[in-house]
Amino acid sequence: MLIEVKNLCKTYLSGDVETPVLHDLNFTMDKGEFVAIMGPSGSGKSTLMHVLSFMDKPSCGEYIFDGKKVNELTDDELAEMRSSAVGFIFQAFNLLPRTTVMENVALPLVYTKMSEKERREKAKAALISVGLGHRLEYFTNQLSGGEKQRVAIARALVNNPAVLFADEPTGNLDSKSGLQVMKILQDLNEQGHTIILVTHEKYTAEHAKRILRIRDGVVESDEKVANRQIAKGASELVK
Amino acid sequence: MNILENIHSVWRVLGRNKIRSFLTMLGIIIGVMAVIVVMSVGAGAQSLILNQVKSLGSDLIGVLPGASDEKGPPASAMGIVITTLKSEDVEKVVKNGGDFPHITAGTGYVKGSNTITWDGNEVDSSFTGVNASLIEVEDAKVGQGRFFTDEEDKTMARVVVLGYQVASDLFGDDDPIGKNIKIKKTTFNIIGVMEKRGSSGFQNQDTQVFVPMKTAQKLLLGIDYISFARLKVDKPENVDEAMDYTRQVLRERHDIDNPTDDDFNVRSMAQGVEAITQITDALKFFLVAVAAIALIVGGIGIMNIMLAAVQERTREIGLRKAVGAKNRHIVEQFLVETVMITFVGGAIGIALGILISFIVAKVAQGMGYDWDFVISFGAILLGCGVSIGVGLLFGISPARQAAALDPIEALRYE
Repeated sequence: MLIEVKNLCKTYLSGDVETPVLHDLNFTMDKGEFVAIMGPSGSGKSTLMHVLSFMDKPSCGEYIFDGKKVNELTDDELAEMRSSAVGFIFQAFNLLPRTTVMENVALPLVYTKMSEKERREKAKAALISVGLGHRLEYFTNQLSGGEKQRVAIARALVNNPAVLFADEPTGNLDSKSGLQVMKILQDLNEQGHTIILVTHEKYTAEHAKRILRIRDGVVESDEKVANRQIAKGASELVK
Repeated sequence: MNILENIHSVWRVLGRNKIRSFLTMLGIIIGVMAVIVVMSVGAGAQSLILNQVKSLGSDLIGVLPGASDEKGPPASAMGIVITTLKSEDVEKVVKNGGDFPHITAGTGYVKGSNTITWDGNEVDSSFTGVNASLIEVEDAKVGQGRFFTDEEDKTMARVVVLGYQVASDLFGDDDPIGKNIKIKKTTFNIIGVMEKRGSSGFQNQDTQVFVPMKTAQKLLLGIDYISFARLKVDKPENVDEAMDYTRQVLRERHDIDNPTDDDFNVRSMAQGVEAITQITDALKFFLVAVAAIALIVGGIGIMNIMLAAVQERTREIGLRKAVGAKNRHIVEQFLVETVMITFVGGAIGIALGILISFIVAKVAQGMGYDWDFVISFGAILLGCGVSIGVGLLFGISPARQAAALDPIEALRYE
């Protein structure tokens, strides 16, 4: 078991006002799964993803990742987990402007003990695997939206994480680029990567193998995808 | 990521915002430059003042009217006129040479200023009443003609000896000897022109106009006292003894039994140099303090810009934290940035400071001042130390603020 969540809750405090976002969540995920977390806006799906990806701490309950109790980790240990155990793909790409594709992809490795040469090699390999081997020295603002998201995927992959998190990865893309991205994610899953996707679109969610529906901070349903969508085309991009 | 890579990446960030980086540095550049220039110009001015004092000679004794603490300023510096010191006092000290042969010459001084006219030409000049032995006391030389004699002094002769500059201002290439000029409606006959002497003892000696002491006192000023006197001692090692002797003679003449009742004070040049050094040192420190304020203002400018940079790069900080940067990585990044800005600014400031100090020294030397070009190692160290200190001091707060950001909040920042 890779991820185990027991009675997890999250409450935001702003001043004296408590805003509960997640209540009493319970689920598990195994290595190699492709899970879509679905829910309308305000359901708490993004908050759940932030907790699962070590960017935020749970308020109560337990989160056990690969045998580690995440509640007990310090800020630095959480940073360590973000650096080594997970990769994150954002809806808004979040690439550094006026910086090359290569530098962007190598960014997570900057905070490891790797030498610069090794970092460049890994970044290059990750970029080739998403079909951007010809864009290494481009600046990120010279890329199309689809290319930007592929750079972001390469960045998420570069530290060879146990889990890839994708927060509405197709939300800012046209449908063709979106399909390309889903294709890459499915191929990565085939290769054994665990993928957790957050989306509010049923169509996108159906590319996953399992859908976890969240509403008002609780699990509404948790079921396997019956008719899975398989993204086609551009398959030659992923090697 | 090691520190070298960090510096390298910060260098690129600064390079992408050249104008902003430069403006940020400007405060530090000006501050460090000000510290260096102030310290150098201060040291140069001090050397000028000390050289001026020393140029009068270390074998001179000054006698000033009025009692004063040896280390304090003379009464005349406070604007108090004391009338107890007379020409005869000086005469007595020198003429008693039989008892004490080490004082070889002495002269009193009185000063006044007036317009000097010749054939419609006018110059504003000060005139100095002195005794004939001025030549000996000050080691001065007459270029043309002659200096006046004791006899002329005694008889209130209306003769005058001009400084080099005054003579050339009034007469140009003409020979002034034998011509008559008017000082305060009294006609004087020019008997000599001094050699070009430059400036010494805080005065441009070439703009002096010398008239016999008695003539100056009676005809021009209407007084019977002198402003101060200088006595020449044969050898510097006899100066202390000569000072004691002078005090003794003056007390006798002024009927003073107790040294605390002295109505005069006797100083050597060495004491003068010491007092002036103390004063100029105090001035130097004051100026450095002012320059340090400029540095602090520069530092606050840096803090301001860094705080703005933290805001502007909130999303970048969020992203860096999201992909695994620890708080200390973010602190390091911003600290390296501020320290580099201040360091580069400091280096430019030091270079400019040395350049400006050098120009000031060259200009001063070109104007004939005895000005030394001094750059102290201490000034450079202070400039570097303060600029890096300012960088750390004012960089820490923005850096910590950046590191404390929550990654999710930071990523959402618009």
